[in-house]
Amino acid sequence: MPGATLVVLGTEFGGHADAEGHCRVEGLPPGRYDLQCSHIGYRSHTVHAVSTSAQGQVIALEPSAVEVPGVVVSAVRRAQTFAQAPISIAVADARRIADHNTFSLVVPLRYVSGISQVGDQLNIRGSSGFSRGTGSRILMLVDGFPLLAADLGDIKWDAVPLHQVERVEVIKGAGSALYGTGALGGVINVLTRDPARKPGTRFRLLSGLYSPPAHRGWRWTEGSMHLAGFDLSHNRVIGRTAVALSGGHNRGTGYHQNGDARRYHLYAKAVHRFSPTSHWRTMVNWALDDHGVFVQWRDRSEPLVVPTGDEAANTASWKLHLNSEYYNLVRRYLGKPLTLAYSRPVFKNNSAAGGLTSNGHKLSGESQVDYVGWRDWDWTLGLAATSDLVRSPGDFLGSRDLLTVAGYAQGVYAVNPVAELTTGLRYDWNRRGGAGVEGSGVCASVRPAPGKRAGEFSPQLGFSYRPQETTAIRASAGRGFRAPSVSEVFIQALVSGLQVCPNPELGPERAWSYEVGLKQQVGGRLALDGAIFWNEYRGLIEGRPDIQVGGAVPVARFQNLSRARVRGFEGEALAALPLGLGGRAAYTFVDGVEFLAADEVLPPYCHGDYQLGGEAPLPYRSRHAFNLGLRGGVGTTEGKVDFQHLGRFARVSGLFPECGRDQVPIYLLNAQLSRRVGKVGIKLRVDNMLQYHYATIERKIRPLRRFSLSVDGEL
Amino acid sequence: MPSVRRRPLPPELAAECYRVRLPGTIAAILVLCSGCDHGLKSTAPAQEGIAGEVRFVGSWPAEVAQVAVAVYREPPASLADFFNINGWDIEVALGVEAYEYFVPLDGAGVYQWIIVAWRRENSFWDFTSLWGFYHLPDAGRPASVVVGAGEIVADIDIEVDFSALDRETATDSTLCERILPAEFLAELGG
Repeated sequence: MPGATLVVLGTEFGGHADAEGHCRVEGLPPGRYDLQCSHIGYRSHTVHAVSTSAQGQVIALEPSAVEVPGVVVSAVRRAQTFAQAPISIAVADARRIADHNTFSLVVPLRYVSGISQVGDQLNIRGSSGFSRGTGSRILMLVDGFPLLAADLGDIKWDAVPLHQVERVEVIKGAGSALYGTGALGGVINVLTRDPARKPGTRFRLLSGLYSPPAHRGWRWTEGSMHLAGFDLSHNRVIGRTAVALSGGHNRGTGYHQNGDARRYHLYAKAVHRFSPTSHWRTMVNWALDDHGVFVQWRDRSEPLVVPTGDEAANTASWKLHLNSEYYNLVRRYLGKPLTLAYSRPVFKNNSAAGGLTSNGHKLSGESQVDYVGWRDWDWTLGLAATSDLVRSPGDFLGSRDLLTVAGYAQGVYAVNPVAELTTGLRYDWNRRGGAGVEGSGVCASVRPAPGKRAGEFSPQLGFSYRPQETTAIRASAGRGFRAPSVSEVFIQALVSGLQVCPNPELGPERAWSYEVGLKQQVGGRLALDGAIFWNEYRGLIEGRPDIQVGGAVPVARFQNLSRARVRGFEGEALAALPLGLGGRAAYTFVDGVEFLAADEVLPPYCHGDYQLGGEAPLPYRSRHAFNLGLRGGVGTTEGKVDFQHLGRFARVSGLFPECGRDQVPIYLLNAQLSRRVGKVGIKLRVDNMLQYHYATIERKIRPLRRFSLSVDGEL
Repeated sequence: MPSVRRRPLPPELAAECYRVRLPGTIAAILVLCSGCDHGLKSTAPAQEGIAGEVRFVGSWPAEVAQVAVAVYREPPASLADFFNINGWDIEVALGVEAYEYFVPLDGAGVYQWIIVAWRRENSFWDFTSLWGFYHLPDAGRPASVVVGAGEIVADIDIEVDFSALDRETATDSTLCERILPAEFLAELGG
């Protein structure tokens, strides 16, 4: 079967079938391995204990009307089958991402079961609310390397090389036992494609047009609201090195005033093979983003217009990300990856946007050993170190540095051929250094404080059992933590009429995450995946008013909340329907509450009936989320319709007097039509067909209806 | 009744039907959507303002001639600024336990001072007229209120405790010293 993917489980080895359906894996040390073969439209098949001395192994794939991911690598940091993963994991492949006709990865991920979007931030199973661009409870990785900014600790979505993404794996739940700080609510691991050995050039052209708002009085421009851009990539093999180069540009007006943006990106990836068992892989990515700033609307009657005086507000930023990995399979049972990564986010707001400037550096290194088959145990051991340096002129963030050193171990024990027990432990030691925190101006009462040191143990236990080939049961318990970002500790800035002061006492936020799940396939026409989850949080970091400092403007600082709990369940069904249609239905229920301390200072507004010492809903969480999808096609023409509904938030920040007045339930309907002609694909898509106007955060409306057309192809 | 079975279309005809039906269906949905609920409603610009309740605790002083709620964008830096008021309600009822006030404002923004002031018979307002101010729970400093365009911010409640004032008026301006900027007091010679 041409194009089928073959993976040698537990190793870095694998390949794709040629035009005759043959696949040859070279360099494997002698031994017995589990092989998994997968192909779109077919059910993945695993063959156990195949000997390297075997002359040839024939693997037959059965057609499947539903597509279930084959192999995942993020759950235990090595290749395993989707059914073996002891924790809930979702996969969005390149085709599913490309369906959305977008330049940002946020858009396709918001349709993954268990994920929602608040502002420009993603939220996995209710773990995050909205942090206004500081900190992230989701750890973002690109090929396993952290991509959280050193200064603001947030995810730079424009720095993700979208055109090079092969698939995205989303771990739902705490994952600090493997990944350390940041993996509190989940992990998003973006896996880029390795350069193909066959030379080739790929391109994508995309343009779009926003519809005028449904209410005539909301129109802010007589001109068109549009976007356009392209991506171009080329790969070839030079000697023993396979290289991929890519670049792109997009620009547009956006759908609101100050929504204009210009973005450029360059990307290069090289894989040099010293021998069949050792290689060096390196990637460089650079992105530039220059866009207008829309913090809040001018007026509820003009929600697409910025406040008077903000018309010129603008921010320009660039990000550089470089990572490099050397992998050597020393023996059949011993692999050694060694990695080094550097990232640099730089941004500058113009004076109309507050004149804030920041300059960050993040350097990280990791050494890992994978040992396979020690008395039915597979072990992963590693040491990691990360250094964050921030240089920000003035009081905004100051000159700060963070150092984290960690060691981890994870073992996967094969109880029998259909059951595995996973256990892991990681210790992170971090130091917050640099000059002491000194408040100035309104924040003058913040006294200088010395640096802080802390250590965190993160254990994890997981179990996976497959009583039948079509059934997989999983259970896991794990701890997560997140050290506060530089911005959450040190920020001094006036943002949207709110003065934010530093908090030198800010500590990490911690979580325990538990879940039980089941995957079930029924006759190749129905695939079900469900889970019940329960997460307990301590010390969640939220911006809250500060009564110690007062007067001139509302004063807030980041503080650790006492305790919170998020529990719920989610279910997803993929079905093959009559007439060649494919359907998808997903539902997530989230019950998130915060236990208010007796001495807690609540935000100034929207207290509702919440009592100190009692419970209150966590802000910006929808209790109910539905996703429905229907796909069908004839020949090379395919149509698809998606529907999403999110319930109204029970509570918002309480920093604005209107509280939840502008919160409405969300109903989104999207449709697309695509056709492939030879190696060229054409896609017409309509997002937000209902022209439904809604806001997920206060005073900022979400995108209007958008028509887009993309053309992609290979040369 | 004999069962009626639908004869399947030839594949090339079925494909043609899809080609015709799918874009047609999308167009039909778009037309139908024009009559759908569009979420957030359009609103006309409205009056900005601050509203709330002034609660009077204790016995009213006998010499009160007038009570007002005043709103300032910025704390006064000089005596002249004290009369640079951005909005007021001068019809506070006398001798009551509580009064629902409303202060119309001339625009959106951050209002840093919301105060209650009074004046004696045959005298004018001055900085010692302060009786109370809006603050966050347990805070000793005035709190700001953010008013968006077209918004009336409600529940900005202020408490005037006459018994506490009795203790403070021993120096006649303790409350003022607590909330007025030091430069202002310096200008007054205090």
